[in-house]
Amino acid sequence: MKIMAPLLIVFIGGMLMAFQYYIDIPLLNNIYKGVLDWHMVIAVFALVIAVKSLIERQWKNFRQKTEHPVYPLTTLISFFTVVFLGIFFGLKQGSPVNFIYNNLLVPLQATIFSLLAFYISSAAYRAFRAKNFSSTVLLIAAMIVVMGRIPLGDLIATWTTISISGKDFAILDFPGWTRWILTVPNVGIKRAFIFGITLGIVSTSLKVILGIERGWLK
Amino acid sequence: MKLHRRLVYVLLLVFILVPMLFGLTFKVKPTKPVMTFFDSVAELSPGDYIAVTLSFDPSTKAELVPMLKALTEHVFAKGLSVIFLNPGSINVSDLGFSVISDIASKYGTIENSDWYYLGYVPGEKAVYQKLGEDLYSVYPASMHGVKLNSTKLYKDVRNMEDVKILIDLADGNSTVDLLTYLSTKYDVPMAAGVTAVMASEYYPYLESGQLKGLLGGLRGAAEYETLLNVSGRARRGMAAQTLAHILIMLLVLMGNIEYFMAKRKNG
Repeated sequence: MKIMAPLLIVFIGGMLMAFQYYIDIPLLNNIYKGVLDWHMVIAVFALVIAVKSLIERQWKNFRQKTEHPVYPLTTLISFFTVVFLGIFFGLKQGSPVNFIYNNLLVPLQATIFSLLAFYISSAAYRAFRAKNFSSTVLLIAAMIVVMGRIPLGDLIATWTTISISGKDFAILDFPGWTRWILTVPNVGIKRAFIFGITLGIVSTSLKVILGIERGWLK
Repeated sequence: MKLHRRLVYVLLLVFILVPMLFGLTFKVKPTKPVMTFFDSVAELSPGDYIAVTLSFDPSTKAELVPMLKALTEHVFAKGLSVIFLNPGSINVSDLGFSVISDIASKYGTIENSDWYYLGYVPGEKAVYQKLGEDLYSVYPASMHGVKLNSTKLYKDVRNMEDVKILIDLADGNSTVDLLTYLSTKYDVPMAAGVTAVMASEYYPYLESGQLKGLLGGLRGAAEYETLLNVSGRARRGMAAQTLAHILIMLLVLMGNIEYFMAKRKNG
């Protein structure tokens, strides 16, 4: 019973949701709406678990006197400060939480992400080498796309445009080459990936629904 | 001669700062995905409803806020009614609201009458599906607590099937999720604005017609500004991005010259 009950719930739930998508029956539609409501309620509980897990983990790290105890302490102090300010002063524009958001969180997140540009430029210089055929193809494609996505690429295409029997033809058409790379090889390969991944998801889901795959029970 | 990592950083900083300090701008030629995006909004009539989901974190604001600004300018200038919401990201609520309310005051549009900011609710994929069923079971009130059943929106829109187009500005997987769970199932036309690094992911959906248009990174925002005939942050930022790209290409070239010279020397 301990194994059969969850298997039965998954089978009935999975089948109902699959049929519901294709067959328009009011009863199934109502069940579907109910399941969506449950999903949202569970998502709220997941937030509670996430908060509990964060506090426990950071407190443990701090107590164990790791190499940098200041990091878990900073996380805990920041967390409780924002929760305290949020509960007692609200979240409206001009509130302390809003001030922290605009003057700490936004610039910090934007700064950390912007630092990527520096790492990319350094990595491009040190690691992006035409070592073999595959890396050479990658390098050429990357250079064309980089050139095709900046206004200089448009300018070069304009400068090198010649007219052949009344038709304009750009010798160095970086934007055109970029468009071709993005819409032909890129789309073909991405579609293959998407189909492959989707078929994998369908087969795994069917295995779970039919009770063939039972790893999740352990 | 090997360039030291710190020198590369300083060079990049100079290549980014100089065009910004001197206000350099380049002409940006709009591409087809941006033009179709623009046309999808431009062909709507005043009073039509559109929905804009903000699914990004402040970390990608450099690319996505210029898009949001250009799009908001366009929809407010056209007199469209807009539902802004961010079920895909909790972190963008205040940033999105302050950008939109600044532009709203410029056009004299009124919150909870001409536009609505619904904010965040947890549940992501379940929320996307519920939006196709009943908007008010997910969002009974706006982000600032105004009950939606007392607004014009409640009379005009029951669910996302009643909006003319759904636009997702994203730095994650939300566009695919919205396409899967909302756009395809409930037949809601959709367009997207995403970070440059993600843009190539969405070309299959663009080619299949599931996306009506696509803005890719700062370049996409700059193209949109060009079509709107405004000179915003994206067009100014393109000069810095252009020089940074040129520097990276030069660095790659130098790195490869060094590599082949060393290979030749070592036999």
